[in-house]
Amino acid sequence: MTDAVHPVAVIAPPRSRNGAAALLRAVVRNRLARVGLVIVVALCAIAIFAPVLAPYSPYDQDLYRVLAPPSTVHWLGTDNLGRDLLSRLLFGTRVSLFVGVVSSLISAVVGVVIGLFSGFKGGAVDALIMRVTDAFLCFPPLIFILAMSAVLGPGLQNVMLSFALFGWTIFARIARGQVLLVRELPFVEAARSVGIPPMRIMYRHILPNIAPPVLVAISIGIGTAILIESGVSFLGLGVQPPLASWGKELRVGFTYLSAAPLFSIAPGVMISLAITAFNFLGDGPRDALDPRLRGDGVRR
Amino acid sequence: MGKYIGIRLAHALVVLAIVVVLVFVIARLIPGDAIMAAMAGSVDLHDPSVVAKVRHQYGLDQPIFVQFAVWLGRFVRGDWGTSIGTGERVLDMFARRLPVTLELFLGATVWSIAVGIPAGIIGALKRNSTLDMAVTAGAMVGVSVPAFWEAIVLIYLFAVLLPVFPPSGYVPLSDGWLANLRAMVLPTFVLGTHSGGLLARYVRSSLLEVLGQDFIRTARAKGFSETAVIVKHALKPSMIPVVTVIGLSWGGLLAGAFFVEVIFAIPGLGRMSVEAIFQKDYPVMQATLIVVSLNVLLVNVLVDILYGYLDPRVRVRG
Amino acid sequence: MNASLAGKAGPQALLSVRDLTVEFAIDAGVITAVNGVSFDLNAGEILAMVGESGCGKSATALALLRLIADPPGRIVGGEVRFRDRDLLSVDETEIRDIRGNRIAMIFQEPMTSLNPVYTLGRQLGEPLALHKNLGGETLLAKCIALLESVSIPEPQQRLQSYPHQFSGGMRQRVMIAMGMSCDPDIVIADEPTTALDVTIQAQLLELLKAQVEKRRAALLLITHNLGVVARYADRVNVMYAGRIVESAGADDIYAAPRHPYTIGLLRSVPRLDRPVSEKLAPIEGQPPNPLDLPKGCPFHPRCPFAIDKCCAEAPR
Repeated sequence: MTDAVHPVAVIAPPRSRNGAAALLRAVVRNRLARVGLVIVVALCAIAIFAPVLAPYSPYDQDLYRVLAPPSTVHWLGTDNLGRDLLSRLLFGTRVSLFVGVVSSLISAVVGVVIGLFSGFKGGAVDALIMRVTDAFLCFPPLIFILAMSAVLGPGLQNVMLSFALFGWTIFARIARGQVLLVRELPFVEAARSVGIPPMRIMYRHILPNIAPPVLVAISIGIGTAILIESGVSFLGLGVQPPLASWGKELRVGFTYLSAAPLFSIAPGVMISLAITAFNFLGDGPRDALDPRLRGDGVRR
Repeated sequence: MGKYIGIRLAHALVVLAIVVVLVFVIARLIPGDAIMAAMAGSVDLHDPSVVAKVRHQYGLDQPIFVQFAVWLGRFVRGDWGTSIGTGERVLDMFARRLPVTLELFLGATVWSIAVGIPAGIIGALKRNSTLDMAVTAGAMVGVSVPAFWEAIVLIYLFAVLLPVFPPSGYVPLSDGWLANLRAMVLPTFVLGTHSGGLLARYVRSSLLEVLGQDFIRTARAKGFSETAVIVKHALKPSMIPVVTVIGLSWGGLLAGAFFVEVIFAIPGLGRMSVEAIFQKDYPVMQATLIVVSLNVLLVNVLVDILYGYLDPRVRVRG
Repeated sequence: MNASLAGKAGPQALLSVRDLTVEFAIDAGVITAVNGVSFDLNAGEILAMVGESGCGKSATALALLRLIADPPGRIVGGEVRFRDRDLLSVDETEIRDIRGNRIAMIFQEPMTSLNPVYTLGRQLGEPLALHKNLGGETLLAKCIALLESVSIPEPQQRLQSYPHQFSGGMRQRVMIAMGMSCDPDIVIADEPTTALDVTIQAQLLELLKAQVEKRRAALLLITHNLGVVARYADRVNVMYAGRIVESAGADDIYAAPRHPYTIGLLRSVPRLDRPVSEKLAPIEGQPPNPLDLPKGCPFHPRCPFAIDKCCAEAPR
C-alpha cells in the first residue's frame, strides 16, 4: 500500500487560486465530462419531477396486466405485479440518487476531516491513521457492505452508513496528500512563523486546493455508491419493498429473463447510465488536474 | 532493495493486525439473537440450558478479549469453525470451492490482459482518432457497467437468444475440459471486463505520458524506427505503473466474483460467502472476510515489491 | 536571407540548408518557428547558432534530422542537402540510417534524455548495435572504450548502472559518447551544457571539442551563451525570431558586428574588464510574440537604427 503510487490520492494543487473555477473550466472543456454533466442534470431532473413525469404511481398494481410487454399504455411494460415499469424506474431514480449523493457526501466529510487531521499531526499518529486506512481498503467495498448488512440488517440507511464506513478512506488520502503538499510550501512556513493560527492557514490555503480533487472524488464516489446500492439491492439486501430501486427491479427482472427481457434490460440501462455519467463527470477533469506528480524526477 | 521490501512488509504487518481486529469486530457485531435465529432450526431455543450450551459452544459467554485471542489462535491453526448452515468445517468448504473460483479469476485475468493491454496501446498510438475514442469510451463503459447487469445481458444474448453458451452452471474439469471452458466463457468475460477497462485506460495514459518524454526523442535520434522506439523504449517504462493497477483492481475483481458466481450459479467461494451472509452464518462470514482482506493485502504488497523491482528509481527512494 | 550570407561555402559544404521553414500549430494559431533559414556547415568546422530562447535555433536543429514532433510541428519548406541528398525528402529508411550514424544529436536535458529503466550500457551500445551490427563481446569492449574516451572512471561498473545514479555532467558525457559512437560526420549539440553547473560546462565543452576534432567531424553548436561562442566556434549564425540575422566568422562577429541585434547582444554582456559602476546595456523591449511577428524586419521595434523602410521589408 504505497502512498506515493496511489493515482487518486496524489494530485497536484492547481495553479489558479480559484480551484473551483478551474475545475469547472476543465469540466466544460472535456467532451466526456460535458456528456456526463448533461446526463447527471437530466437524472436530477427526473428525480425531482418524478411524480409529474411518471404516468402511473409506482405502487399501483394491475393484476390483469402482469409482465406485459411494452405498449402505448405502458411504455416499458409492467412488472410481475402489474406495476408500470417506467414509473418504477423513474421513482427509482430518487432512491439511487439519494443514496449515492448522501453516501458520498458523508464519506467526503468524514474522510476530509480525518485526512486533514492526519496530515497536520504528522508523525506516528499520521502513520497509524494511514495504516488504518490501508486496512479498510483491504476490503472490497461491496463485500464490506454485504457483511455490514448482515450485521446491521438490510435497508437503505444501513447501506448509506456502511458506505460511509469505508468510503472515507479515499477522501482521507486526498486531504492528507494536499496537507502534505501545502505544508511544505514556504509561504505556509512564513505564515506560521508570523503567528497565524494553523486553523486559519488551513482554511485559506489548504481547503481551496483540496476542493477540486475532492469534488472529483465525490462525483466518482456517487457513481460507486450507486453501483453498490444497486448491487446490494440486486442481492436482496438493500432497498426493501415497496420502494422501487433499480437494483431491486433488476433482481426481479432476472427471474423473468426469457419471458420479459425488457424487465432486465431497462433497469440495468438506468444503472449503467447513471454510473457512467458520474464517472465521466469525475474523470474528465481528473485528466486536467492530474497525477503528473509521480515524484520520480521525470519532467512533466 | 532490501530496505524497500522491509518497509513494505512492516507496513503490511501493521495493516494485517488492524484488519484482523476489524474482521473480528464486524463478526461480533452480529446481534446474538441473529445467530440464535440462524440456528433455530437445529436446536430447541426455548430451553435455557440448550441456549447456554450453544453460547458456550461458540464461546459467546467469555469476555471479548478472550474471545478474540481464542478465535485468533484457532484461526491460525486452521480451525475456522463449523458452518452454522451446513455443519461442515469451514476450512473444508473453502478448500473445496477454491479451485473453482481460482479458475474464474484466471480466466478473467486472461481476458482483461488480452483485451485491455492491446486496447490501451492502440488508443495511445492512435491518439484522438476514432479508434482511440472507441477505446476510451469502451474502457469507461467497461468500468461503469455493473458486472451483474452485464452478466444478465450477456446471458440473454448468448444463452437465451442464441444458445451458444450455457446460461449458468458449472461443469467440473473432470467432466470434460471443453464443457468446462464453454461454461466459463461468459462468467470469465464478465468478470474480466471491469479490470480490462481499467487496464486499457491506464495503459493508454501511461504510454502517452512516456511517449512525450525526452528519452523517446533520443531513441529516435539514434535512428530507430517508430516501432522499435515504441517496443524498445516506450513499453517497459509505461507498463510499470500498470502493475499497480492490477493491485488496485484486485479488490474489484473479488467483489465482482461474488456477483458472477451468484448469477451464473458457480459453486465457488463467492457464492458460498453470499449465502453465508444471508444465513448469517458467521463463521463462514468471518473466514471470508479474513481471506478476502488478506488476499488484497498480499496482492498489494506483492505489487509494491514488483514495482520496486521493475522501476530502478523507486529502490533508491525506498 | 539570401545565399551570400549563408557563409563561405568552402570547396563543398558538408551540410547545406536552404529556406528551411518549420511551423507549429497551437490552439492560438500557427507559429513559424523557423522562417526561411539558410546556412552551410563545412566539414570539420564548429558552427554556433546563437539566439535568445524561442528564436528557433532548437527547432532548426531538430528539423535537420526530421525530429520535429508532428503534430504539432511541421516542416513546410526548404531543403537540407547532405551528401547529395535532400534529407527532407528522403524516405524513412534513409533518414534512420543517417540518424545516430552519420549525423548525431546531443540534447539539452541530461536528466531526462536517457531512459530511466534501462542500464547505461544498454543505451550506450544501441547506436553501434543498430548501425554497425556489433554485439556481444565486441560491443562491450567498444562501450568501455567509449566511456574511457569521455573520462568516465570505472567504465565496466558504470555500464551496469542506471541513469538516475549519475550526475548531470556524467550523463551528458555518456550522451556525447553515445553520439560519437558511430563516428558521425556531423554532431548537433543542442545547448548541451545549459542545464549544468558552470564548472561542468567548461569541462564538457572541452571534451566535446576534443572529440569532434579527433574525428574531424563538424559540430553544430546551439547555445545562447556568447562566451561559449567566442571560445569554441569557428563561425556564428545569429538567430532572431526564426531567421538568421547575421552570419560571420567568430572573430569577425566580435570585432565588427553588423546587425543591430548582434550589436545589442554583444553590448549587453557584462564584462569583467569594465568598471563595476557601468550600467548594464540590455536590448530594449521584449522578444516578439511568435504568433504576431512585426511586419517587415522582425527586429525593428527594438532596433535603435530603425527607419521607416524597416516596417515594410526585412533587410538583405
